[in-house]
Amino acid sequence: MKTLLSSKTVESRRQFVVGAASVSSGLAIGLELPWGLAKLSAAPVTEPVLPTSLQSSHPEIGAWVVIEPDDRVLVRVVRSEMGQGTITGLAQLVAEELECDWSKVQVEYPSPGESLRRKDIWGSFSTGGSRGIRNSEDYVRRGGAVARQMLIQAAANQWNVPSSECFAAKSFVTHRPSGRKASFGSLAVHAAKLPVPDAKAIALKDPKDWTIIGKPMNRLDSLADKVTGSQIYAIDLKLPGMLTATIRQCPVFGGTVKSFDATAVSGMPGVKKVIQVDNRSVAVVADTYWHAKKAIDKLPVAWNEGPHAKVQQSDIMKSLEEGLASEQSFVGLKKGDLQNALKSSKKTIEASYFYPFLNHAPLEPMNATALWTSSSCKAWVPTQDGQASLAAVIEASGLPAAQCDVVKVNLGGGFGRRGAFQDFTTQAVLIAKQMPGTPIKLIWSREEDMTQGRYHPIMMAKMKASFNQNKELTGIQMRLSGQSILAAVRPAIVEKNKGMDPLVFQGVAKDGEHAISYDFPNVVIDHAMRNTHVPPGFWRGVNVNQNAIFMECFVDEMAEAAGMDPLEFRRKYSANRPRTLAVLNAVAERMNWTSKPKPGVFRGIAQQFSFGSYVAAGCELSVTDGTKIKIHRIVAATDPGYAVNPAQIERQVSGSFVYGLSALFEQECTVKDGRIVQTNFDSFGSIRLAQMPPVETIILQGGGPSWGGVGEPTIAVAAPAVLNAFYQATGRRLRNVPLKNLGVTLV
Amino acid sequence: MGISRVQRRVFVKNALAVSGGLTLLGASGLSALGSQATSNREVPKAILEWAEGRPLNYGRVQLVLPPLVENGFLVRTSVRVEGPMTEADHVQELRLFSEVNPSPFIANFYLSPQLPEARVETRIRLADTQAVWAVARTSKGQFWCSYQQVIVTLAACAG
Repeated sequence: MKTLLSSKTVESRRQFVVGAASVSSGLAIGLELPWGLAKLSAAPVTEPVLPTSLQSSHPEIGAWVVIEPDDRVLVRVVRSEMGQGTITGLAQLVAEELECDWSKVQVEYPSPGESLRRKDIWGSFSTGGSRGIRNSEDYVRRGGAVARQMLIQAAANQWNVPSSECFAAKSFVTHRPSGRKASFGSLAVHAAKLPVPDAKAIALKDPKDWTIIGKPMNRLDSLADKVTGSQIYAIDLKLPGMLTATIRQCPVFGGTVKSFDATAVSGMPGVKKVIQVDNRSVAVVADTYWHAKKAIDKLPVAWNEGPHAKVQQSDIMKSLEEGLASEQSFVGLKKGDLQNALKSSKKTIEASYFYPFLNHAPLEPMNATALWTSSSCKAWVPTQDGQASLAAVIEASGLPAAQCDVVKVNLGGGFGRRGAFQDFTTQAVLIAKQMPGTPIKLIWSREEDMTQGRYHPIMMAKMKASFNQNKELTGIQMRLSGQSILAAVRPAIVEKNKGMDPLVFQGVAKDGEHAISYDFPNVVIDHAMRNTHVPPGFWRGVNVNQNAIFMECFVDEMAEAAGMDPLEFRRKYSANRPRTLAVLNAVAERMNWTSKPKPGVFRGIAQQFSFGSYVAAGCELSVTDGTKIKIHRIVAATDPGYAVNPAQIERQVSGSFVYGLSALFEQECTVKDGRIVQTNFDSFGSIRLAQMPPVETIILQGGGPSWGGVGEPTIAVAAPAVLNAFYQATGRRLRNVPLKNLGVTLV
Repeated sequence: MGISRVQRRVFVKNALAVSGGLTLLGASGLSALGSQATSNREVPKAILEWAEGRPLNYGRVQLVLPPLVENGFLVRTSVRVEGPMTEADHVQELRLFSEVNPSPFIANFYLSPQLPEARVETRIRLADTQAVWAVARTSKGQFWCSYQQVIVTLAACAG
């Protein structure tokens, strides 16, 4: 029987490697430590480790919990940890219902292959869309509750008492009448043999009784390893006998390899093989990354650049501009009679906005390690979706699904690049397939990573609003023109919607988790789909990023035309939306909105509903020479319904402003001759520590039946809050990002 | 391979998969299985409509799809129907059905007895995680079917 892997993310790095060493072939993973950390550089562990679930001494109690005889609790988590803290939050959810001692909790990743063999027992592995907590809160809590019931039943059986007389708390089951107690660890083996009760029939705890959920528990992953740089990311992985590959893909999207001259580099130091990976890429396999990189830089490759080799940024801009006035569009939201409102208006205002292509640019470039033999294929992947990685491995390996598996390895950033897109996994397997039995680590260079991305779609918007003689808003039109992600990535969804991409309206949608949070009279929001040859992708926050700028900046423009304070204007049109009002009010109160700011300091505000969460941000800034912005303070309120770990939410919100402000000020990808121009961080920047303003986070818990996300929503309000404050300071509306193109900088 | 006939009440049981066969059973057959039953799957309406009340048999059809796909855009699919391909008795029509696509009809193939075997390979599009069904109609008017569960992974940030 094939053994499966489990990598224990919370244990020391060496233990992680032990987990990873449990390959079916009995292969051991040696780890070369970067800076000779003596205490960690012990000899690699070679004995294969059975996955927890297959070891009788590690009793699995239901699908989500394993309890060791020493009382340690292993909680299964299938979402990927990439800094966002999801493993801690998800473990809190399970532990709450399990009634275990939090100090005994650890986490393990089941493998996607194991999940497939067990009929998708752990559900979706996809880690994106701010869904980690909100989409699994119910079933993982039930997973904890099931295990608790089984432990209680085990105790009741042993004591020969009714289970209703027993309760669980702090990793002990107690028989109430007699006071008899047994630890979870002592009950685990027996409990694991009991039938698993129906999870849906168990009543979950009332939120008011929570003792672990809602508490700022420390993270379960090791911060020390991150701080010292000793955490092993996928790019650091080493297997015995492993070779390293690097790749060059046709620089023009849609182009192919015409020819390459392997002999020109095959004699270079360390080079083992030059490989055509697929019709659009070639790779060099060498003993080290350095040797592979030197060789691939020298490798003469001729490309068939294909039909897009002459595409320039200006062509794309022209196509989007044309879309702003196009007759044909997909209507996302229509309410009332806008035409009539425009006709009978006293005054109209108009503004056009632009948002560029963006790369995810994680610090760790794309990479994956694969080992292919004629009977099995295993890949070690920094993945946001273990199942998507496994699907790619199955497809590329040409082997039956049962002979494939994926080990999830720490990601050095994801941001949406490493979920639905598994091109790097496929490539690693295709390379490994040409070198059977040799583990191959494929590492993309930074340049490949920057120019072969799945880019945030390019988008323009034309906003128009009409007012009556009393300066009251009578209608609003929002025309989006630009690229659809789903048309490229999930055409079935577009097909289902008769050609429309519903995701393009994120944040201004007619309903759902990205619904518009204003009740405007007479509205039309539509999209002229203008797709480009640049492959689009889900970039953290996705389409909310630009829609929030378009709408929230224009709301300020409308407020001015209506002669109203921007906050008052927002309150007026979200008067029936208590949770929107609550986040707006929380920010306003903290900023003391009605008071006069210090001389030279100006304020802006923005709000957004997305990913099921209500968020608002306020900004205080000053401007010198009309172009140099100093942000003094950001106040951000977020209401995800339930705050599982408030400390983690605060960190997420702060981090989201780094991301949002970086995009606002610094980031843009452009096209020249069909290629992406920006190849590294010199031309695709990020804000620095000294530029980062303090972020004050306010967490509200509006409750309700559906939970909201945290990872993405607040990114979108960063930019409009700053842009609105900038107008207050200078009287200048900035409608194109990044601001560096307008000569505006963050100091 | 365990085969039994069904009228249109029609749930498929997985329980007999252990013995290598899958069986389609009528409602009356369910109780006979008792606790062996692990899951029920209702036959899609589109298939029942096509069969127009004639019995559906589970078996003979070998449907091969990857159990897990990254994207439902192009899913390799192959179907083979065991049995004779003669003038007198052959697979005349082969259809693929989806449980959750906007349209349940994925593909129709019309086969001639001149073919050495009833076998097709194609690529299909799947909107979401579901079972895909393959149903063969023979020249004798018999219906044979099979289904295969496919997990379609979610897009990163899309619903």
